Amino acid sequence: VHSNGHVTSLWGKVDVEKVGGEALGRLLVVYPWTQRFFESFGDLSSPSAIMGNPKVKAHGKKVLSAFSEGLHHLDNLKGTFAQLSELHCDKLHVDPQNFTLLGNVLVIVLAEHFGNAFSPPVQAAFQKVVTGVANALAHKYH
Amino acid sequence: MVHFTVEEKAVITSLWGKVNVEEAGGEALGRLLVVYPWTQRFFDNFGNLSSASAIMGNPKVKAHGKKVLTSLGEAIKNMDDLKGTFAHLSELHCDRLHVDPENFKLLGNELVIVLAKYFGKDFTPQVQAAWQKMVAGVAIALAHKYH
Repeated sequence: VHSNGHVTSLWGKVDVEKVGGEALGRLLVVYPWTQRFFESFGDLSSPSAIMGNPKVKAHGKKVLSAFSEGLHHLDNLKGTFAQLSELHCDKLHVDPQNFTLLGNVLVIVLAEHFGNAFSPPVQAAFQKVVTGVANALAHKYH
Repeated sequence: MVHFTVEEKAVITSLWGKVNVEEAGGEALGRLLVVYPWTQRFFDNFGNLSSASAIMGNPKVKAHGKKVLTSLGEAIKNMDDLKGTFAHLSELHCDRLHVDPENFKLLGNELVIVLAKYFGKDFTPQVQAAWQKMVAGVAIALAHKYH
């Protein structure tokens, strides 16, 4: 995956903590079966409970920070995410389809935050990155 | 079959009332063609699709986007029978247009992204959830007559 500047330029304006919490929260709201991976997170009983849940926010921040790291290594996403891929397969047992879902939710959150600045070329660049990250996270699955 | 709760129908209809169908349709279809360039193959006679700005400004793209979204607007009045509403269009897309039904999901996602872009914070998680259900239901209905 090659960045053409669109991605890094937009990412510089992203509040990783806020966007991470929002993306993960929306995943749990829009695709409720994903809540099964977060049973220890406490109250997930309603959209407002989910969006306000401090564990969701903290974990969203963690996920997006890892994604952020990935943006510095777009030429080697598979290497960058190898360890996380093994973790998600061997220990967390997460269906890799969920990486695609979270990537799509992130694109929606970016559109929501940036409005017209999230132009079609910027969207296209991001869509390529989230697909690359999802593939990298699925790469070590067996 | 997709079931919409009373709240979901209200959320969908209420947001739809504020959508500029012509603008949103052109934008959603345009973004589909930019982000997933292989979809351009269905629109060979649309003229200049050579760059993102050419696509987004292309009058045939805008007109066709409006047509597609107008059809969605009709479906919003018939959320309990999406399959019936889209039966004819499903046959058309299969038998005459030869469109891979996966593309309906892609366009549905583009519409959700365009709505998020327009409505910002008003496109809350609950609103997003209702709309994702809507576009998923429409994609299923459009694929229903495929054989």
